Amino acid sequence: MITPYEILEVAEDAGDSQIKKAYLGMVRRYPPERFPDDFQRIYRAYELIKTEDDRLAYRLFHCALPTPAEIAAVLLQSVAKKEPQSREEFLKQLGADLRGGCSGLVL
Amino acid sequence: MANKKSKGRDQRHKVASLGALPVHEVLAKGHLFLTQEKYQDAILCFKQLLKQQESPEILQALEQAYLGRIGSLAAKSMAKEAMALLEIVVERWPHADVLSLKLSLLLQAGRFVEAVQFHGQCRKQLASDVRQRLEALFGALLLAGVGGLRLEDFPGDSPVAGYYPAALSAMDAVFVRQEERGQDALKQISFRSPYRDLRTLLTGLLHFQSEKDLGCSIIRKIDKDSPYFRAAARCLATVDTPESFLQNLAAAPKNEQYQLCGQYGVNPSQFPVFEALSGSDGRPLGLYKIASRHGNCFTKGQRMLLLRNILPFCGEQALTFLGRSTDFTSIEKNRILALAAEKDGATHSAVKFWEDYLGNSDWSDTLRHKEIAMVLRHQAKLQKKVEYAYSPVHVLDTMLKSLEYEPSHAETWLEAAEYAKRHFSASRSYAIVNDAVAKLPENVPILVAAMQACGARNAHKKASGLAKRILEIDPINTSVLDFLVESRLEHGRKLASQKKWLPAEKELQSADTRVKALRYRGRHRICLGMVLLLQGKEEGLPHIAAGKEENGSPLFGHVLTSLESRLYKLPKGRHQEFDRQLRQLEDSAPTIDRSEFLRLINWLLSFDGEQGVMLKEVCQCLTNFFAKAAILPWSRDEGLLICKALEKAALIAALTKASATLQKNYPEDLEFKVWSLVAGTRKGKKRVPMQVFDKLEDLLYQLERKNRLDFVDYIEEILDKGRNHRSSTFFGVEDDLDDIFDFGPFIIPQVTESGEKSPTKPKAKPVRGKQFNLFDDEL
Repeated sequence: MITPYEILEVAEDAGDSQIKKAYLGMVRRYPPERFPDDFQRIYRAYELIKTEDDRLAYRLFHCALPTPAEIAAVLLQSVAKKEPQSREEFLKQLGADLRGGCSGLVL
Repeated sequence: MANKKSKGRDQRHKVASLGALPVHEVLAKGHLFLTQEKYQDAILCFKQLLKQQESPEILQALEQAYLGRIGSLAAKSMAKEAMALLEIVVERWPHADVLSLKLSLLLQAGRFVEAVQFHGQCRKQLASDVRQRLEALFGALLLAGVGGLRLEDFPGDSPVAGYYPAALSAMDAVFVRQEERGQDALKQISFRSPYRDLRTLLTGLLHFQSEKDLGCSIIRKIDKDSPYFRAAARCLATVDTPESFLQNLAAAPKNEQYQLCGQYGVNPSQFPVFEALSGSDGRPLGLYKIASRHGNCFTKGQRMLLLRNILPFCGEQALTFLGRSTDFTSIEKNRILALAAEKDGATHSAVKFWEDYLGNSDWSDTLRHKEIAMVLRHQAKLQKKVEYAYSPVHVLDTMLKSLEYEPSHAETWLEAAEYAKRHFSASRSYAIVNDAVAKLPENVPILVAAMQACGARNAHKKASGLAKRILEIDPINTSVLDFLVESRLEHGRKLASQKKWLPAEKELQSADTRVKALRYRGRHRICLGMVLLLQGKEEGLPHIAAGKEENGSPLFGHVLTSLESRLYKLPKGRHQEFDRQLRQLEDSAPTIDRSEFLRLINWLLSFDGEQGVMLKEVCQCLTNFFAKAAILPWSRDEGLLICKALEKAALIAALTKASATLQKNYPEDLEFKVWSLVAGTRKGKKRVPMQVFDKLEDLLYQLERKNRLDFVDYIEEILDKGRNHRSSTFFGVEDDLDDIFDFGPFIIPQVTESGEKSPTKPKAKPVRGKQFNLFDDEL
């Protein structure tokens, strides 16, 4: 459900060269030998919008029935999914958990 | 206030009514309330009884009722009220076992410092598992700085305080991503320490960067009742896919679903949509309902994107859904409906919707011409699928209309030309190709198509001109180079047949010498020699010799000479002379060159028209060469091509040998058995038993089941040809009424090259001592 533009992180009015540049950047970030699945996703996205004709065909004829998980992914996109990056962040989250969670403690 | 007053009134009323009852009834009621967990009523009963008589049994029951009431208040998060009651209980029953309960209530009430102090007093009286869990919680509270807890609040011998520095330094090391330091620091935290789960979590996080799976498997070890469980779940959620999130959500009990959403950082307002998604079977209509009911959970862009992707799969219902929708413009609605119709197999309706799409759009903007062309091309593709509704005229018109909007679309020009050739005429196709050349004079595929069309129309001069243009653009296009030479040679032959000697010579001299294919190398000189010989000039012979030399292969040089002498229709004496030279070469060659043989096989399969017929005739001079080569070991694929070519060239003796050898080498391959039988049916004037045809039919049936349909079709075509030539049937007997009554072996009449039946000759008596040729070939 995530559009190829979103996968390649380019604007919908981006040109061939911008898209190619974004694609190559993505391939550098997700090399196929280390991230085969991500690479496949990126490659497929690039193939869909590589040229002006491809983009037009995508806009006119492309449709793919999303799975419930893909719809969920659209909603989860906005959620920052990252493990804690610092001690402070970790302890802040832990504190919030404990403040909300001690009431349920049954000894 | 009114509520409180009413409660007080009720209580007084209850007390008054209890006072009127006999003791044993009140006692029974009290116990009943206890079992029904109606602790307040039970307390009233037992208090009432205590007023009348004080017995240990009633006191114990009252204590039980108070503890029950405290528990129920705690469960309602009324910690303060529960604490007040607990104080009454402790005062009245100083020996009551309320340590855990008190600690729970203190923690629940957020009175952590008091809880730590109380824990310090009663630590030794607590069960070991309760103590460990409490200490783990205190450790986490201390680290997170919750409730104003400080290190000084813990006694010096407390493990919470003891391992606190190690826990801090482990966290520091892990979050600065120093793996080695992190590992060392984590080792300082004992397995029995209150920070055990923290150690597990940090170890998992340490592996997160390099080995996510290993990190996750470590973090998963943290129990649900650990104070670090939510932190662990949050870390795991970062690697979880939306699929597993939905699966976990569907599997989780109702009361944990909200919590699970929290771990994923999901906004509570979005919970219903996730709940609906987790229960969805993924069918379009269900997804449409989710997207429309929970539309406010998505941004407008997300909602439109969803509907654009779901509605085309909703079939006819898309029409109803889009009718209600105000999100889409009428143009967009037509596009979605067209796609829905396509997906639903309603191609005719799809064409109509695309027509409406074009009709409703404003196309004055030339920048959108590409879009019109693309839609028209798509329409043409759809129209081809519904032949009953759209005639070829309609389809071709749509294609040509698209080219008006995008004349640079070479693929459509080529497709339209091909379509016109198939459904109209070669000249219509030629006209389209010419238009294409005018629009795209530099486009190689278009020029190649034009060149081939000219070649097919025998417009060799024009074809040569086009080939030249292509070679200017693409000088290493070998197929065009070959075509150019072929075209010039053909034109030369045409001019020679019209006795235009000088132009013919000129045409042949201008043939490109860069050509690499053996079939063209040196051929223009051989042809030039032929033109001179046709004029009665013997100086043609040195040209032919030079051409042979230029070719590089003595065999092919001679084959091409014999071939050209036939194509140029030289007198028969000349053919025979060249054929004799070819036979001499065949006899003198000590070994068979495998690559030469395969090339000749390729020529036999690829030369068509007059050239093909003449080459077949030339190859009759090489029967020994073919027979010798046929018994060499060949791969399976080579073998199949060899059999095909030998049959095509009517080299039956060689085909017999080849199929027999290949059958021996590849006993599992039915194809060679078939070729062997086919060769048998073609062999001279022998009696062919009916069983042979039964076997052949059986083998073809088996091959058909193995999906070797191309091969079966090809063999059936050969057999059909044979049947037509011989006016006899191979498989059916219906063509020949006599055969209906004669199932025995029959004779296949000998067929001449022209396909006519040869006159029946009396069977010759075998001559003693006569040497038959090696392959029993007819000479």
